[in-house]
Formats: sequence, structure tokens, C-alpha cells
Amino acid sequence: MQYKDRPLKTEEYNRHEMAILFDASKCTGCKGCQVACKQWNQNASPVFSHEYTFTGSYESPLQNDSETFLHMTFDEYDGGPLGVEWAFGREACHHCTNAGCVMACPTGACHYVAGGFVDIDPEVCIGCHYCQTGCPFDIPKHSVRDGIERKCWMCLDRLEEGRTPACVGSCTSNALEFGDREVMVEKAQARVEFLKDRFPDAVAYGINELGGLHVIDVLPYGAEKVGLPINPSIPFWRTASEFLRPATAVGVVATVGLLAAARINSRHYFRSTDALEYDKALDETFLIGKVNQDGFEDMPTRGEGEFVEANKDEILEALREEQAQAIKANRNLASQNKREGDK
Amino acid sequence: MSSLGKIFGRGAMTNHWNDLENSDVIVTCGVNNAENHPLSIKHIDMARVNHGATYIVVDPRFTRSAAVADIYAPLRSGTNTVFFGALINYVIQNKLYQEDYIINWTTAPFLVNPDFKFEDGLFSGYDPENHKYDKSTWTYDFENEGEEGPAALRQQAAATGSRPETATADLEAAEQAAEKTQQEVPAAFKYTLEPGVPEFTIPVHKKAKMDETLQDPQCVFQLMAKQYERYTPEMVENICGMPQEQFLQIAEIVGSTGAPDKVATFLYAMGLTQHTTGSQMIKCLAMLQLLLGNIGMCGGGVNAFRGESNVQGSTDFGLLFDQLPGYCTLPTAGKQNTLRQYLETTTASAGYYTNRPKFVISLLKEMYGEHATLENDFCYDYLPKLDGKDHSYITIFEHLYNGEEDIRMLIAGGQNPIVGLPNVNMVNEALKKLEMIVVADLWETETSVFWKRPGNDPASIQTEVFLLPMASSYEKQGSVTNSGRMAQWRYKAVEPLGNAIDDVELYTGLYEAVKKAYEREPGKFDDPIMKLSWPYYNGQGHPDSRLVAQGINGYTVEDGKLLAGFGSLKADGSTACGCWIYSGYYNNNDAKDDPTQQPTGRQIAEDVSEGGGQGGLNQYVNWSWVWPLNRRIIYNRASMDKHGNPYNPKFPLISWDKANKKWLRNDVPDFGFTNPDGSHMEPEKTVAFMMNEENRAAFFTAGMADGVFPEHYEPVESPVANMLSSQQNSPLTIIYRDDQLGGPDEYPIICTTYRMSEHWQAGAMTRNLPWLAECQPKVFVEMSETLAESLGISNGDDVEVYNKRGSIVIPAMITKRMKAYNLGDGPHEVVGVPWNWGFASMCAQGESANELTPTYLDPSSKIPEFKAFLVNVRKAVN
Amino acid sequence: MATEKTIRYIARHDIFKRIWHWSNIVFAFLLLISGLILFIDPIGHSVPKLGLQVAGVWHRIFAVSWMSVYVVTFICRPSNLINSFKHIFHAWDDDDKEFMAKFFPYMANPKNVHLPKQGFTKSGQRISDAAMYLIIFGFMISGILIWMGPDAIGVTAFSFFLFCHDLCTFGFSILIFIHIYLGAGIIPSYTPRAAGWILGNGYVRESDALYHWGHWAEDELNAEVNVVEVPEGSQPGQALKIVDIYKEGLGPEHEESSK
Repeated sequence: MQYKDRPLKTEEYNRHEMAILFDASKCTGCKGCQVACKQWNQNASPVFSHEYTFTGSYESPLQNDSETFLHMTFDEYDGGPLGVEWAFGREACHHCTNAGCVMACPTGACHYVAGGFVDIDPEVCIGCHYCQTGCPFDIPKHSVRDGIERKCWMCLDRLEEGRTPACVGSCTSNALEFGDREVMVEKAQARVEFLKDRFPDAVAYGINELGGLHVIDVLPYGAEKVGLPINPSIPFWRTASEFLRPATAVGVVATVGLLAAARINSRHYFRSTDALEYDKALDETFLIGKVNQDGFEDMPTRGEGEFVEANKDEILEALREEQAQAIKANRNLASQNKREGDK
Repeated sequence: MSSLGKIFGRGAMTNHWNDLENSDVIVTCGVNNAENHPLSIKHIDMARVNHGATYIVVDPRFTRSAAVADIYAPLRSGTNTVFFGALINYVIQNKLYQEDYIINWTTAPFLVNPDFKFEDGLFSGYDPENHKYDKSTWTYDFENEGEEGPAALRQQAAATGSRPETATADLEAAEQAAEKTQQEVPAAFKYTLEPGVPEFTIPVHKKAKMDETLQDPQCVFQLMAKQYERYTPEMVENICGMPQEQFLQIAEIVGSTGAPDKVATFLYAMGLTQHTTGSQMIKCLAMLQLLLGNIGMCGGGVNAFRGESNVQGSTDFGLLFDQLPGYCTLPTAGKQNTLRQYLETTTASAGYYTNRPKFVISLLKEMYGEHATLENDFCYDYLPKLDGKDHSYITIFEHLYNGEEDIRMLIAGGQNPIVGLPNVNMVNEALKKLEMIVVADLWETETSVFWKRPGNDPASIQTEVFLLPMASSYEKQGSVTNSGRMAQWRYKAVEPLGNAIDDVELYTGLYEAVKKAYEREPGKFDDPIMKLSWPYYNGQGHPDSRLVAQGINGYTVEDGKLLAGFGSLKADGSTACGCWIYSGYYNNNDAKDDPTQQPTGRQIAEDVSEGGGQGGLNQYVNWSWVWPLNRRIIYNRASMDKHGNPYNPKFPLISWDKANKKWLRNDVPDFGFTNPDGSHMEPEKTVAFMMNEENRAAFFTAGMADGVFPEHYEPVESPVANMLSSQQNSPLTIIYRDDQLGGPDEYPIICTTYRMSEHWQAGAMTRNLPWLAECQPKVFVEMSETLAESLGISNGDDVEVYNKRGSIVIPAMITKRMKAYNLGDGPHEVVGVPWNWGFASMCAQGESANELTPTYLDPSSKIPEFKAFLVNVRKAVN
Repeated sequence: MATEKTIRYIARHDIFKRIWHWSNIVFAFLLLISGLILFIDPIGHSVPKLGLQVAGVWHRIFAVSWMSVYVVTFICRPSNLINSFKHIFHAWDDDDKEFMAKFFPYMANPKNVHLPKQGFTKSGQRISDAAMYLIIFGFMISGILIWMGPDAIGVTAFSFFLFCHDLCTFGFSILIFIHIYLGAGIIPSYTPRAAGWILGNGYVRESDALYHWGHWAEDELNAEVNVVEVPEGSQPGQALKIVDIYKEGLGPEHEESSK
């Protein structure tokens, strides 16, 4: 089952890269998009009053999760042309060109779709969490109920019918647009130019990040003020994990190769059984197999010749003699030293 | 609304949603439109993108509207009159007003009664003991002064208590004079001579003296200039807390729209209406826009954003206690005991309301059908009569609470008083006194389970409560009228769940039940019910909105043929019409059963012209239908000079084609533009504000309860003294429960209440739907960092917000967007609490902000002060 | 009189160590198979979801079973693991260093490279054991943590421990080949008999013991408690219990090989 680059019915999306343009300078933080996303995906929200707590700001919920693909963020700072900088952000999948989640996914469930989007196929996803390690924005979330990972999927079913994603369709303030990515990028850049007089930190986020995102954010107060990372990259540990895969292949091949070479090179050599024996009395290990000119056990080529078992008794006798000689020599040496030591 | 009616002639948004795209300057002052009318931002954005419009937000808080504005300026809640008045002063001092416009289309050149005065916060005729104004000096200086018509004399006699039949010498003389004039009946009144029209004396038109140079010190313009002399930028800073430089920056931009080819629009909603001085604030804004020549223009106007999807519809149909449909008034006992008296006192001497009798009699004919005849004054006696006292919403509850009136039952249809009214602790006590409450709603609202309110002892409450399940807007059919006066037909998409019914069924059912009860046991005077005409049943015995729509549109009685518009209405009982301003909205005789073929149901999205124009001005005249007569921008005669040349050539809404003697129309003209022979009327003969008796927009309005010109008064509970006069509050403010009035010593913090994007009014819908509740599940109080620091509060801490009316414990949201106002005498802190929460609902329960709000009412509109009162705040003890 | 030739055997691995090692083999294999499905993208992309889910479940069952074996064998004979660790951390003498220096040349050219006597655990073996323990315990700990999931430990921690698990896979994939090559006696000089020591009855023939672990063998033969002598051809039975003659488990200090 190969899911890469599965084409969409809508031909346009198969030919062009598409993108959402989110212009935060026009956004009023009304959360209509947030609700439209919930409704279209039939995602759940907590039901009872006691399940909710005060979030501290207009932001609610505070996090995406397996039932919340999109939520708006609200950050406040002093200053700016209006006296207060109320930075609205849009936290949802950015549909990266070089998506860490796709890279990480071991099953192929998380895959690129025509148009440049990233989709997690619930029929294939096993909920292993790997995609979460690849995302610099912490987007895919695990659904305990379904055992899969879930995130914004760009409402592919709506795109197939020639419609825009649900969020874009709901926007009341012209902050969201959907179209050809090149066009969205141009618009974003033009808008940033326009904004720069009043908003010197204005940026268009997503033009080149991670190979280019398919959600372009125009951010009047800059990326950091809405909590987006500058120059995002795939998290280090995911890159390291990915590196280990080819590294393992190379390592295994090299190891097996080296071992094979060693084995081939040593194919003619084997050790015979019971070549060595130990004499407790003598505290000596001696070779009763064939010995080569260096005094070591000879390891003949297989099939060539036979071992000649040496005479064990003879060997032991020789060893005892050797030892006795050594002891005598040592005694002399010791008394010599003693005499010298007296001096 | 009441003030717009007085100054322009109709109480409604003057322009419409799409027209916002035509503005050069858009000012939000008194509304949080980004949050509560989100689609307005779409149109505002188009204006900014298409022709660089400037968007200015002036608000007590830095709202989500402010977040997308070009300029945001703070304004202490309740001080809008200072801001608008200062803009008027700036415009006048710097000669930025559109002179041609105000001379031709407004009462600016009219001379005023020489006895009229204004001094130290009060107008002439104030009676301090009774807190009332004698308005006899609030008149123009008439050319034909002293020629009182008999009608007026009769009215005066009635007012002083003498019997109307008493023939005085004055009356006799007046009647003789009137008889003479009957022979030269003005064209507008020729219809009164037709047979079948009830007899009444035509009012004499009094012409005001004029000074078209605007120099006479007693002309309206100069009086206005004098009124606002005190409203300086310094005052704006000291009273409103808006820095002078910001004010001047805004004034310059707004003032620039006095140029004929530049236009500003002002947007407002509850931020202006929900004050004790709200009517006057709105009027002040309207005056500013008139000075700048922005009324009747594309992209201009005074644009009230109604608070609910069909509240415009409900006021159009006379939901308020003193109204009949179409903004006719209910008669008052004593002054209007007979139809004749009513007609004489409500028919204008000039302007379109010379036709009043046609509207009223057609209405009576619709209501009482065959029972209404010339002989019985068209059943006029069946209309309830007002007793001159206030019976508005809050007053009813005040009486109920005090046990002052015999009120036994409340029917709350889509209304949740125990969350939405001010001073809900009082409302809670009041509800306990009722024998029965019927709540007709989609949800189990707090009112429907009020006995469960924390602190109530259900065992001690005797009230019997019914909750009737009602259909939602997708489960029923009918028209809904939005802020732009557009009455769009809606279709039934699905059947209601379970036993839920639609409102037409409910009220038809009630009518039938009451009728049956009277059949069993006749009442003291049950004719008004028994004789009601109710021709709305379809073949299956159920009421049908389409039949109601036909009744509203109007038809000739004899053959049931739908009328083209209210121009066809007659005063002789040959026409019936449920609401004259809607006449024309359901007028296609060839498709009576098919709303898609009616004006209300049209969905033609092309931006075409009405006739002869080039189209493309964002008017969309063929999308649905607006009242009156599909005039998208009302008062649009004022978009041109006397000769029919558009003031703004870029937006030639309507123009006079001199060569062909025709009006080129991108909108339906809001002026009579055809002669009886069908040819087009010359521009110099046409009128811009025909709903006013003066045929002009009126700066000087005697109809306002508490003043001819808006004057700034402090909110009843205010931390500072009025810097503009020694009259602290508006003298006619209706104050209930003054024992709960809190002063700044005990309650130094200003409090305001408001709505949020995420919730809908009293919250029954949004707090019962998880997707919506999740967006903002918990109520909170917004406060500044400085206030939080002085109280030792961290973000999220529970705090107690309290005053004499109530106390709520809610988490604090500490935000940079709230800042103390720097007023003349130093900083004054402000907190804000959204009021969408209540103790019931499944997903998001919370304390109601309206525990804190007071029952002080605007004397004209009877709307309470939700936006500016005093509280104190402290960290909550657990 | 024709003396029956007897062979002396030294008990080297007790029953618990052998059970432990067998379970290592079985479970390592099963875990590797069920784990590599996710490690090798082409495999993971080809296996249908049900197969992957089943593999995932079994991987966890195997993992728990495997860890249980460690726990149980440790409880039964703690000295095995403890001694193993002590061997790893024991200081290297000159024999150890010489062994290590000559080991790789030996693997390539066993005829002409001769290695010095070693203790119970060869120096090279100690390095291999250390690596193996790191990998095994690395697998276990990182496996438990990633099983808990990012919801419990956070995404960054999860990523790190997943990397650790991957790193152990990398290490294990390489080490296992070396381990089998040497341990199972693919290397000819180790003879296939090597496999029988820990996979079989736990006894080592005197000759093999003297060849590989000269110092240890001599000590054991001297002590005799762990030595059995059986006629050639018959097996010594199972090495159920090894009398631990060493206080520290390391044996008496070795003298120089020049002895």
C-alpha cells in the first residue's frame, strides 16, 4: 500500500501547490474558524461545565488535542501602533514541504497529498506517536479513543468537491484565503510590505521554512510573539533517529562483510578437541596435541594430516623436571639476594 | 432608535451592511462590531482594501475591534456625548461642515422660539419639583404663529383637563378658519375628501422662519454651535480619558469627511443605547453626521447594529409597549379617546406622515376585518389605550417586585430576564411573586428553572412554571429583518424536534384558547379578542407564515389582491395592511404561495441599478427587500445638491439627468420622484427627509424627553463630578431602587458589561452547545495590571466584584488591554464583566454580571444603564 | 589395563544463566522482528494496519516477558548478574590488555596470532558484555518510557527515548552478529562446541576452558568443587549449581603469564 502523492479528484490541486493564507492583521480572533473546524470534522468538545477551567485569557482551548485541530492564540504586549499589541495566532498544522511527521512515520499513514498537504490516513495509522517527534510545532495529537494520530488534514474531502477548507469558508474578516501557493505567497509579501510602516516587525511566515509551508501566516507582530519558532527545523532527536536507519543498514552490512571476510580468511583453521590439559600437582597447563615450532598448538588445515597425540606421561615428566630445575634456580637466586641484602 | 426617529424621521440604520464598503472613514463608537457583528469586519476590510478607508475604534476597552483598527482611542463609558459634542465643536469651529447640505436638507437655518434657553445643564421649562420639562419653549419661531388649528386647541383643552366638547370662542374661530382651508385642501390631504374616510381636521402647517446665512444667533445652527462651545479637546481628555492629541487626530480625519466627496460612517449598538443618556448620545452622533453631510450618502450614515437577528423586525412590528406596527403609537387615554382625536394628533401637517390615517385605518382593517367599518371608527375602541405611565420591561419588573400592580403571569418568549435584565437579584425576587411563568424557548433557560438559582429555597416558591419547546430558526418559515432593514425570507429546513412548535403556532394557539375561554364565560370586554380577524390558516388548520406575510404586505379588501406598496394604502377601509412600512415585501399576486417569487425571497446577487443607474455601488437592490419600498439607503435625496447633482461623483447613487429629465437610480429614491402624470419630478421640488414634519432633518428636536440638544450628563453612578455643568445627571432619568445606589467612596471602580464573540446574549444557546462553550467556558472580570497589583491579585485568582445590588465571585483576567482612565482629577480604574453567563446550562455555568447592573432608565427609550456603574473589587476569600 | 579415557568438565553457567540466555535469544529475536517492522520504512509501509497493530501488541508482550525473566532469574540467583557486572568493572591486567590488542589480528589470522590466558571473562568479552547490557537495559528503559507515550512524559522526552531505542537497535544489529559469530563458534577457532556451553548443559571441557580462560580454568581445576570427571562420550548433566569459591567472584589474583 503506497500512499505517497495520492492524487485528488480536483485536478487543480494535482497540478499546483495550494496554500492557506492567514493574515493575522485582519484576524479578529472570533474563533469562527475554530468552531467550523470542529463542526466539519465532528470533533468532540468537553460537555459539562465542571470539565472546564478558566484559561486566563481569550484563548480557549489552550492546546490542540486529538479533538481540536485548530485553535486561535492570544498574546498581549505593550507598545505597537495601537498602544497594545494583541497578537492573534493560528495554531494548526502548517503542512510543510519537508514534513518531519512524514519523515518519521513508519507506516506511511502520514503522507503527502497532491497540493502539498500532509494527511494522516486513519486506515493506516497505528497511533505510534512517531509523527509527534518529527513536528517542530507539536501538531499531531494522539486520540486515545481511536488509537490514531489526528491533525488538520486541509479538509481534503471539501477540496475534492472544489470547496475551500472549512476554516477558510467561515472567516468573517477576510483573514483567511485559500488558493495557489505562489499567489498566496505573493499576496503575503505584498501585505507585509503594506504593513511595515505601522508594524515594523511584520513577517510572512512559511515562505521558505521547512522547504515552504502550505499555510502562509502574515504576522504583524512577528513570529515569536505568537509563539512560532524562527527558522523551524525538524527536532534533533527525530533527525538523529532517522540517521540511525541508514546507519544501521551500513553498520550491519559492514559488520557482516567484515565477519564474512574474517571467516573466509580463517576457514582452514580449527582447534582440535581436548588439546590441553592441566596438572594440578604441577600447576601447569600443557598441550597434548600437536605443537608447532613455536611451541603452540598447531592448527592444521582441515583434512590435511592428523594430530599426533603426544605422550602425556612423557610431557608431565618433562614438566616436573623443568619445575624442579626452576625451583633450584630460584633457591640459588634467593640466597644470593639474601647475601647481597645483608651487605 | 427613538432619537434617530426624531432627527431623521425613521428609527433605523440609515445605510446597510454592504454599503460599509463605500466608506472613507469608519468609526466604531458604541459597539464592538468585530466581536458581536463579525461580518461587519468583512465589509470594513473591503473598504480599506478597495479605497484605503480608515477604521477608527473608540471604546472603553481595547476590544477585538480595536485590534484591527487603524486608530484606537479610549473613552470612559457614558461620556460619548462629550466626544461627539467635541467633534461637532471641532467641525463647526474649523468650518468643516458641508454648508450646502445643512442649509438645504436640515433645520440648521430655522429660527427657534426666542424664549428658548439653555443654561448650566438645563433647558428652559424645567420643573425641578416634578422632574419634568414644560416644552412650550422648545419650538421654532413660526411665521404663522398663533394660528392654532382646532385639533391643537382640542388637544390643549384635553391636556388642561377641560372637556373637549366645550366650545370656546377660540375654537369656534379656528373651526371657521379650518372650514375655509378645507376648500383649498393641500394636495397631500386631498385623500381626506374621499368617501369612507373618517372625518378629522387637517392640522395647520406652521412654517418656521429661516436664516439661510446661518448667522442669526437664534437659528438652530448658532444655538448648536453655542451648545458645544464648552466641548473642547481638553474636556475630552479630562472627562473621557482620551488624550487630546488622539482626539485631534480623530477629529481631523472625521472632519475631513465634511467635504462633499468624502464620507464617514459611524457604527454603534448597545455601547450607545444602554445608557441613561443613550438616546441623546445617538442623537448627538446623528447631528455630527448631518453637519458633515454624511446622511443619505453611499458609505455614510448612522448605523445601528441591532443586537439580535430579528430585533429590527420586532420593533418594526410594534413589540414595545407603546407602539403599534409600523411605528404608529398606541393611543393614550384622555388625549386620544376617539379615532378623530388620534388622527388629529398623530397626522403631520407636512411630510409623509400626512398619510398617517391610511396606515392606521388599514391596520385596523387587517386586525378586525369585516368588523371594522367607518361607522364604528374601524374598531378603534378595541385598541388598548395607554395610561400615560411607563409600562416598559424593567418598569414592569419594578412594579412586580414592589407588589404595586396585579401582575400574575409572565410569558417569556425567547427571553431570559433572570440573566438579561439589570439587577437580577431583584428580578429573582420579582419572579417569585408570579403565579405562573411560561417560558417558550429552545433551551432550559435560567428563567425556566429559576427556583434552582443558588440561594433560592424551592419549597417556598409557589410559582408554577411551564417550559414550552419552540422551533429554532431552521425549523420554521418566515422573514427575519436585519439591521439593514432587510426582511429576508427564511425557509424551513427540517422539522422541529419532538413537540417543538413555531411561534405562529404558539400565538395562534393562545388566541384560540383565550377565545374558547371567553366563549365559555364572556369577559368584561372581550370584543377585542372575539372580533379579531385571523385569516392565517392554511387548508390543514394550521397557521401559515405566508398568509401572515400577505396580511402584512396589504391587499385590497374586496378582492384580496396584494398591494404594490404603501403608496396604494387608503384611509377608507378599502385596504388592509398589517404593517405599512413592510408593504411591498410580499406583493407578487402570481405566486402568493411561493416566497422565492416574492421580493422578500429574491436572491439575485448582481449589483445592478434600480433604473437608469450604472450599478456596482454595493447596493444589491435585487437581493431580498428592505423597508421602506426597497430603499437601500434612506434619505438618499441628500446625496445630491438641490439640482440633483451627486455630492460625490464617485458614488452617484441617484442623479438627475437634466437632458432627459429623468432620475438615474442605483437605489430606490427615498423621495417622491414622479408626478401624477408619470413624468419625473424636477429636483428642486423634491424633499430629503420627508418623514419629518419640517421635511428636513431636525437638529432641534422637541420630541426628546430630556433636552432639545444632547448635553453631557454623568452616569447616575459616576466617580467624578460633571465638568460641563452643575447638573450631575440627566434630570429625567428614571431611577428605581435608589436605595441600592452606590457612591464612589464605597465603590470607586467603574464597571461595564458587554458581550463576547463566543456567546450569544443570555447564553442559553452557546452555553448548551459544547463546540461553542469550549471557546469561552468561564465568565471572568477583565482588569488592568495596575488594579490587579494594588489588590494583590494574580491572573486567574477568584475575586469578588460587588456593590449594593449584588456580589459575584469570578476569576480575574488581568490584561494590558484594560487601563485606568486618566481623567481630569486623576486615574480611575475600570473593570469589565461579560454578562452572557447564568447558573443553568450544561456546558458553561457562571455568575451573571447583571447582579451588579442598576435599574436606571433612559427617559426616552426606557433602556437601562448596563454600561457605566460603580463596583468595588477584592480578592475572594475561600 | 586399558584405562577408560575420562574428560574433565568445569561448570561454567548455572541453570538460571542459561534460562536467562535462552530467553535473551528467543525474545531478542521476536522483539527484533516485531520492532524492525517500524524501524525499516519499506516494511512498515507495506504491512497492513492490522499486522502492524498485532506486531505492536506482541512486541509489548515479548518485552514484558523478557523483562520478567530478568527479574525472576535475578531473584533466584542475584550473584549471576552482580558478578557479571563486577567482571565488567574489574581492572585490566597486562594479560587483558595484551588479549585485547591481539584480538582483531587473531580474528583475521588465528593460526599465527596467539592470545594470552584470561580470567573468567575475557577482556574483550567484558567490553562486549558492557555494550550488550547497555543496549539491553537501554532497550528496556527506553521501551518502557516510550510505551508510556508522549502524553505521559512529554514529546521531547519521548523523542529522546525513541532515539535511544533506535540507537540500541543500531547497536544491537551490529553487536548481535559479532556475538553470534564468536559465541556460537562461527569463528573456527572457537569451534561449534562453544555454542553448547551456555546453550547446553553449562559445562565446559577442560581443554576448552584452559584454552579460553586459562587462569579461571586452572583455579577451578585446583579447587575441584565445580569440576566433574566423566568418561569420554557421556555428558556431565546440567550445571545446576556452581559453588562459588571466590569471595568476590573474581578468583584469586592472577600472576603474570610468564609464570
